[in-house]
Amino acid sequence: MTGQPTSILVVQLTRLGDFLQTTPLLAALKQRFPSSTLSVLVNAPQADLARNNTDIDEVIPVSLTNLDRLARDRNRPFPGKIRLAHELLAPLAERRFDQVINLNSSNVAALLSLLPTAGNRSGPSLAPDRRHLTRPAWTGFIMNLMSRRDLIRFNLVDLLTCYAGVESRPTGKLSYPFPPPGDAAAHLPGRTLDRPLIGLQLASRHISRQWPIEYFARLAANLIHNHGASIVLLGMESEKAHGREFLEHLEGLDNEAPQRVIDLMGKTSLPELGAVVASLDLLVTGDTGTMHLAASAETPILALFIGPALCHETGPYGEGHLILQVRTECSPCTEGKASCTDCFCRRLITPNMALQAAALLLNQDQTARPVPGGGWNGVSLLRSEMDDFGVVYKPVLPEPLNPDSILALAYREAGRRFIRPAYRPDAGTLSGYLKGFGPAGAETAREASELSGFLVKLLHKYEQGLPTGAFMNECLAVYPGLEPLSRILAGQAFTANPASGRVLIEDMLFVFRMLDNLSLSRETSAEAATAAQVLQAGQSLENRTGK
Amino acid sequence: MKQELLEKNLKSLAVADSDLARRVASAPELADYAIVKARSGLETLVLEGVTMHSRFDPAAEAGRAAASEETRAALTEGKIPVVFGLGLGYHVLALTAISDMVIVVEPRPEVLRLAFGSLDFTGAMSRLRFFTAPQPLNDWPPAFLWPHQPSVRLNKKDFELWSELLKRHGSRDEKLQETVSEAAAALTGITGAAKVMNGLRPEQPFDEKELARAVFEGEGPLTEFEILVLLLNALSWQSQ
Repeated sequence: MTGQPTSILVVQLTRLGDFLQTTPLLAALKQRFPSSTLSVLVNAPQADLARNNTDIDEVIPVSLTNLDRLARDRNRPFPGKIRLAHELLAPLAERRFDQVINLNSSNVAALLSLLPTAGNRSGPSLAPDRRHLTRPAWTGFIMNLMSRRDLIRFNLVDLLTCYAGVESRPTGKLSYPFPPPGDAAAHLPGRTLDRPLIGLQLASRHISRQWPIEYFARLAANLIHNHGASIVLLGMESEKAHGREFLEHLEGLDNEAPQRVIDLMGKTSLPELGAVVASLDLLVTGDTGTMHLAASAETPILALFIGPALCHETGPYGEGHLILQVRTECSPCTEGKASCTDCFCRRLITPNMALQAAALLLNQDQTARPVPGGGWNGVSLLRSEMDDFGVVYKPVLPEPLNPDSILALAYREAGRRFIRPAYRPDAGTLSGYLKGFGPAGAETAREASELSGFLVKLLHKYEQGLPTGAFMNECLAVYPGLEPLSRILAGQAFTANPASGRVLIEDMLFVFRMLDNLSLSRETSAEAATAAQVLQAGQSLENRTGK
Repeated sequence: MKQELLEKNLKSLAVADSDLARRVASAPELADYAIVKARSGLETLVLEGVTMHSRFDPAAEAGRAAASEETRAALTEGKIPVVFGLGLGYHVLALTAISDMVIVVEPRPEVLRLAFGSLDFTGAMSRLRFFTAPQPLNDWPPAFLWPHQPSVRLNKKDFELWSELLKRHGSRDEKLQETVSEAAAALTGITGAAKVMNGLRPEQPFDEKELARAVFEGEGPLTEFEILVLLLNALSWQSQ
């Protein structure tokens, strides 16, 4: 984005949580262009939420439901549909903005963002073939990382904020969308509340993301018994069956415990839910809109990330939240396409793990770590921290550094520089990443050497022209974690400009070299030694001007 | 059978469809039927062993059927009922009380003759169209099939034929009602509409798929009209 736009339109048509995750971008835009008028195009259900955001000057609601009904209306002739759509969308089509930023990867959003006249447009847009979408080069980088989601270390909030075109992270939090909450008792009538007040968001949008209700009950029984907690059940009217199931389980565990439970499921408006969430001492939740609401209110969160949910992508934003992230061979899986029928990973996070993590948050000791009693296999306990790019989730319990962890960091650093060219990876930042990781074993050192060896070979290939598909296949056969890199390099942004491919590989190599210096075995392979030589031969990151 | 009533109904029918009126007038008498009194005192019909209306109160039964939630919902959407099966016509008259237009499909002119000799349709004739054979519905507004179940039992094949016809009529989204030039006129004032519509053959029936194809094959910056066409197209696909 160049110059000082006088009017900006941000198109964000998705749900509550997505809108909240967009608020740092809105803040960044307002901060960068304080005299610009900031408008947002939102789906009608999110309009009130948007109107409460002080960074937004104008909310343009569009009812996707009405448009969808219109499109499916079999009684109206097509010209009539066009005419009605023209009238419904006139408030948008008649406008002009200096800058239109579309945040959604759907043809519908791309088309709506094309309706107003615009000086500049950014974000996913319709390709010249009028069927597919084109995206900024850096989003292509992220999309290709999706082939190995377990290696993604970019949070959606930070990626959305990139559209503001700022070089550093402008804000560390989501905007709380409501006026400061009053006494929570106003929303919890007739109760004298014992602290801590702990909210449970029982339901998630898909069963594969949802912690078992009986586990919630066991956790609640222990929180009541060990911490004297009051429990607040949160959720929508349609989720009330979960509440009944929870209370049945809880009563089975302790017949007096249900008296400590306040069931607000289906009883709160969005502002009321916000007020209750803001007054909690802790929220225990899956990857939900309520989680993002709590993050915006800076309520401590214990988030349970299961099945398709990956905290590195959509975890709670801000400092100091804890996440229990399932980590299995098949996770994160794809929602709706998961081949397992029993969603076994839902039960990997035990009530005892959640209790230990909750205790850390209730004691507010950011340095404390639970004493693992064994059985933490398949689950990572992570704490959110902020760095210059955004949120990172670091292990609370020591985890062995493995080649995938290193590769994930390499992708993050290389991607981060690709997105914000002024960024330079440095040893200090990488050292910070290592916090929480245990020492690398000899096997990891060997594999890391092998990986960096592939990267060196790849770099040499680039020196001679673009690498062949056969060579990439050879790399992938040995180390599948290079698949995203293979895809990224095959993308148009890199094939059109091989120099940018070389820079990307060098950035990743830099990470391997620095981590090698910091933590890995000193016994580097001949290939890794070559890597160091390549980097030292006048191609240091600081001297490069390729981006 | 009341001859005077039959002639009165036929005369009224002839105003809209003289050919059908002649065919009904010359239709032979049904071979296997009986008209009997229902408990309410109204006449009811037993045709080929099938009771066509209530033996208690055929008018009340027809009223209830016409006022069903499904029927009201379809009428609210602006659809017209295509009644399959006439019987003596109680349900048809009940429907004319709540719908401006009722199409009646009765494969057998003999049944029409019987009904016209039993109930007075003249007051509702301007809202009625009678078909005995399948025919294209291109010129008709959106319609929904309203089966008279006893008639369906007697004419299953005809009913299936009409079901298919109505299905196709519904799936065509009325687009065959308009020519390209009529559609273009309806779209006047939307930026970019004229250019795209001028590219289509004006004398042809308007076809939204052809329009979408023309927009997809277009080049250069999208106009408002093109965006709206692609938007409705994308929403349709999304909801499938």
